[in-house]
Amino acid sequence: MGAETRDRSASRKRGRLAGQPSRRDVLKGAATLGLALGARTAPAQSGGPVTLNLLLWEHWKVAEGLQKDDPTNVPKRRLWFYETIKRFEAEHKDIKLQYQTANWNVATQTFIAASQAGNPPDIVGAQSQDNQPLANAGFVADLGQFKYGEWDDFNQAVLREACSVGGKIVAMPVYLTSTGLGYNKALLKQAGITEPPKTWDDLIRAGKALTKDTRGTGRPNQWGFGIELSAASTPNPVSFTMPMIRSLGGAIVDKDGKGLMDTPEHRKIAKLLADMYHEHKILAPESLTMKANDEVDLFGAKSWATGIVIHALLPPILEKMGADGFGFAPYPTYPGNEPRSYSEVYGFLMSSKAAKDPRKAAAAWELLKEIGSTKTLLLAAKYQFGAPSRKSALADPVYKSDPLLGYLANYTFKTATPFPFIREVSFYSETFIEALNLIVLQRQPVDETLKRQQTRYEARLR
Amino acid sequence: MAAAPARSRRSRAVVHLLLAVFAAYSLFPLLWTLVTSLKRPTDAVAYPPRWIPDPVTLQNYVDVLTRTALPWQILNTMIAASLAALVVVATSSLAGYGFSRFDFRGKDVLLISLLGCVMVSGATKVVPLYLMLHKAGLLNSLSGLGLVYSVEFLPISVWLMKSYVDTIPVELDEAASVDGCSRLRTFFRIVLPLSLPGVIAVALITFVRSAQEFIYAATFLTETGVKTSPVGLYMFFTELGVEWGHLTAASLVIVLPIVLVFLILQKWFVSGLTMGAVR
Amino acid sequence: MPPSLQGLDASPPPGAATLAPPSPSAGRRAAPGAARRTLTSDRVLPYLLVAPAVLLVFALTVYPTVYVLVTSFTDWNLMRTVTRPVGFRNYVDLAGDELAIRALVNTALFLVGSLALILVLGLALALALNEPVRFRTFFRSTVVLPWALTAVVVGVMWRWILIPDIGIVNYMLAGLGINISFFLSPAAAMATMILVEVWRSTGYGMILVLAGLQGIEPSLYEAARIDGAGFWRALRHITLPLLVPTLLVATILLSIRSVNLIDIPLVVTGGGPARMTETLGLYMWKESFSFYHIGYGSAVAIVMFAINLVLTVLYIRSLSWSRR
Repeated sequence: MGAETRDRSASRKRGRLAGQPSRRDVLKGAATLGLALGARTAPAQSGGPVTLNLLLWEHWKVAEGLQKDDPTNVPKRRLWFYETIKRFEAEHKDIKLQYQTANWNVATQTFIAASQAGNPPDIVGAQSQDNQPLANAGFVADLGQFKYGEWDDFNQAVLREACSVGGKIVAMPVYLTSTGLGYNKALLKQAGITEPPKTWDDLIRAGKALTKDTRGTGRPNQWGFGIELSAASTPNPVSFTMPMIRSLGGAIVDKDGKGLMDTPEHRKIAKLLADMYHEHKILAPESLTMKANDEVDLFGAKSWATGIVIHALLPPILEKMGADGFGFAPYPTYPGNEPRSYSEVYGFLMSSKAAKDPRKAAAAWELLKEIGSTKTLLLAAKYQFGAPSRKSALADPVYKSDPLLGYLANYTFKTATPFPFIREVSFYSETFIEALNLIVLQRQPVDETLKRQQTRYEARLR
Repeated sequence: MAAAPARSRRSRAVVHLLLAVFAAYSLFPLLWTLVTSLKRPTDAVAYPPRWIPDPVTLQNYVDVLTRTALPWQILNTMIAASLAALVVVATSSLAGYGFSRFDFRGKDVLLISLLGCVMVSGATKVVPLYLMLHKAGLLNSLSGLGLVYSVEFLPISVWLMKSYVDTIPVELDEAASVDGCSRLRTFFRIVLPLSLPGVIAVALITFVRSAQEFIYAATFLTETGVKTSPVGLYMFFTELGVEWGHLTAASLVIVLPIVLVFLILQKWFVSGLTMGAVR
Repeated sequence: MPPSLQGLDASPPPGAATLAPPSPSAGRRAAPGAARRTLTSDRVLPYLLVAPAVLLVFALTVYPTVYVLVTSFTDWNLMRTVTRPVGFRNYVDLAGDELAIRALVNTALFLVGSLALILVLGLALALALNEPVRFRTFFRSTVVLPWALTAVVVGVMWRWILIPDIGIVNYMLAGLGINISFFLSPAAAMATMILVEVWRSTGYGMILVLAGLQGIEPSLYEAARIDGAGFWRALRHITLPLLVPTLLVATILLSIRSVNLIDIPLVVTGGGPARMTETLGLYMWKESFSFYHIGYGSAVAIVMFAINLVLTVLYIRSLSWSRR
């Protein structure tokens, strides 16, 4: 009965695809219906084209453009995906692609529910933090089972930390974006600051000059420093504080995958943030209440003069502030330490169900290779400042064509540390952010709070 | 319509003040939504914010209506919500009649268990309902979604219909049965027409609440062609921040049909909810 | 692990049978002295009449509820491959879980705060709009309008309006020399959450009360007026007593809604700052769908169900007690 249902929905979709060119034509619509009905009775699995189902994030806004064959419907920053898929379809006439979309906040849940029901999409795009639950539940395939000589070409930290779970590669990485210190050039200039701050002391000094109450309300409305630490935007804050800890030589996870928050480095960072808030009064309070991506508007409205930002957000920020209005620099560090950054990796995974069907698996693997190829990387560089995940791509002239893009590519490659594999990653993130909130907002003692939260996290590992 | 004893002029002023203040509270976010939707994207988040958009642009509306699937998603929403309302009306009016007019074994237990069904939080049922819809071949179908919605609102609707039918004098039924009408014919000929306000009220509640539901719609509909508008709104929450102009325009566009339906039916909405009133 | 579809044939949800003194007389027209008459001649027909509604509801509720109940006795966790039955451990853990207890307290605060405001404001507005005031249709529609909006939009709009430093509300307040952070302290964040919920649901509460008001016989007021009773006395001695059943139903509906509410806390505060404003609904959502502790999340869901059940029984009991 389940199989019958699937066949029916597949033929329905095939019918719709066939009907695309003749949307306005009622007669052809009727013919399409006939086609669909015919397709239902035709034997499904005999040498015909293989159909792959892709689950994409809704806000990519690319599925509809692909279905309608209309790039004008796709936002510019997603054209790299559109063009990659078109290239793939041209080269693989025997593979038909279908699209499902889900809101980012329910995409994983949708995939889980679908897998639970034995009805998963064949390929799903996901942020690297989601790889772990999907892999642990056995819903996605080990990509190591396919012969591939190019794994060595990838940035190994990315492949190992972001795309593997339990030693198995589960996701094909695409391009990277990384975090750094964004700053409003005009405001810095106004305050007589010529260089973006390099150390935390520099930042605090600059921050004091930049924090201002321009409206006379008794509370500043322009802040020296902002960093997403909000409970409303988990798990981002962990990504944003991780580079600070790694720069100090610390770690957020031990070799067994146990997340850490009660370390000297964590204590130092927590104290630094609390001091910025209470002593120096330069940390924007919105840091603790904002939603993910509010940075764009906070920078745009001059509420933040400097702040930690992921470079994926540069296009909209530059649009608001002008190409010369906004700068991007490495994280400040303590003297003697090298800056690190967090790199976000969006990868594509194959469902374990697709991997069991040889024809489907072969087709899905072809698609994953195309998505992970250098060609795709260069398109991502062109359309959205995408930094390369492959060593060989870094030398490409594309990255020399634009100074900012070149800077970002090299910066990312040098400092990139993706989100590592952590057991109970979401619970870990939430628990650590709670600790930071308690320390920064409520002035709870640093050592005790981190220790208590570490214990709480570990209690869930049993 | 005469109600409580007449009040002094001063208390009338108080009443009007209360209404005005609350109306302002209700309207303010919507007004700001409207203003934002008429601004260019760069103006939408500019500080200081401007009350009067300059220039006024309808581009956001043109965009969401012509460049996104929103019109189709609104149609899908209407289909799913209407279907839910239809199922609710058909079954709850019969059940309301049954519960109101007859005494039978297990009646109270059934009524209470229906209420109990409302108490199970919607979100927890996502995974099991997904399994059931999948087994029934009703995933990615508006009828499946409509059915789930109807179940969310059926228990309340049965209760409301029961109390509405309670207010219709039972003598009317008896007179009809003296005239030789069967029970069912009595229902269709006399009770149903008289309970029309109740029917409209439950239909409206089901329709309005279904049309704004998000969690089920987001999980059960993944094919782009069948999505509903609350889910479609998420298009405008991008990984690069919120597209305020489009989001606000789309929010107003999707709420418009619901408001129209509500305005047309609001008179019956109030009179249809008797809420166990003593008459 | 998850139960199969056989659960469909199972009995009504647990607890249903224990509700001994059954129907809240609220739903019933209790004209003093005269018990409501019913037609008793037919034995099969009533079952046929109620069957479609009852079966449909049971079919799509009982299996999911049993599924959740069974899951709550396991350690189903998507971060692990093996799922085992754990007996009552989830419930025992829950009893000692500081965050769950805080969520319970927050739910109570949210419930009491929003319910009281919605009922009082809904009653006041309904009383006002039950009179032939000017622009009645306009006011009625305006007040109910927020109820028709999708929660996601509601939450995001309010955040956007209230955002410190750059939002419109703080822009207007800046003129008065004020700049408020509506989400920064737990108390402020909770108040903001209640404010949004009140904004959204007061219209619905008002409609319910209005419906109850229209059921009150005008002649009662006429008599009161002849007796020289003013507005407040009429309110106290006629309106409120006769509205009790209405208010009871409204209380039950709104209270179940508040306990189960997820979307408003999720979009307005996300539980922050520091998980200080998490409600049970949000806690359940986070455990199940953020942390993937589905077994534990299911236990929270069952507790929420039990709370709803207890509250409803209490409301009904307190009504019959107050009538004595």
